Amino acid sequence: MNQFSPGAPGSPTGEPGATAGSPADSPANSSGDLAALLKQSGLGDEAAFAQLYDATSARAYGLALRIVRDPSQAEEVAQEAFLEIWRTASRFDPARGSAVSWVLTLVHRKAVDRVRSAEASTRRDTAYHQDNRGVEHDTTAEAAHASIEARRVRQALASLTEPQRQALELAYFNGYTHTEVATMLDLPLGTAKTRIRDGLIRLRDTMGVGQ
Amino acid sequence: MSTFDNESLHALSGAYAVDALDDTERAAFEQHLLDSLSGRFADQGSAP
Repeated sequence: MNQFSPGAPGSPTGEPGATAGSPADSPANSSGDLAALLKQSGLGDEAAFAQLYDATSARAYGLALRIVRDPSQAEEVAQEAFLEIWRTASRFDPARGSAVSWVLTLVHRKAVDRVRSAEASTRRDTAYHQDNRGVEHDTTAEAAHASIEARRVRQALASLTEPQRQALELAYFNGYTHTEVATMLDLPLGTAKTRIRDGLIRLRDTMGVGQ
Repeated sequence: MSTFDNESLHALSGAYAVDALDDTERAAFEQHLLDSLSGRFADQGSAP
């Protein structure tokens, strides 16, 4: 896997070879291509995996950075995630969701695991303030956010009630468990669960997913 | 999983989707998903 190392933080597009054109330029038809690449990767096709990597690594790194807040740790998380993607690509089922969702879900899971093990020895209130400082200006995240899809997500997030958005952001972007979210917001556990769930349902409805 | 009834597992679906469950809860939720899926597949005569 010579294409394997994640792009350096200063390399926003993360396209070492860039033989696959620029998938970011064609969001409308890239999802089917990515699903095909993922399927080929599942069969052991390294070239397909390299293309998949080129097409998704910038977003994967951006998401990991948003959660772990440290460029070198985000690189490690992205690398771990892509290793798992390579190993488990055959489990991808296009009937259940897009290839991008599948990839980013794996990245998110890895990033959250990293945050939790790193925070095991850190006081939560300290972590909370650190996590709420906001991400420093970063071209990778900027590139990822520039997509139409991201704009739709931001608009949908704006449609949430403030309590829903707050609970979802703590859970998704900061990697807290719903129990921790409840504690941090001083809510009954059931209320925290409901806010996260209702927030997701509202996002789904606003974005017209699954129509 | 005796500690989680169906009702409370269902309520966890949102938290599951955003990776906001701890390991125990995640395992219980996934087992619950598997159970309901295998129930559905059994109806169609094919195991998952």
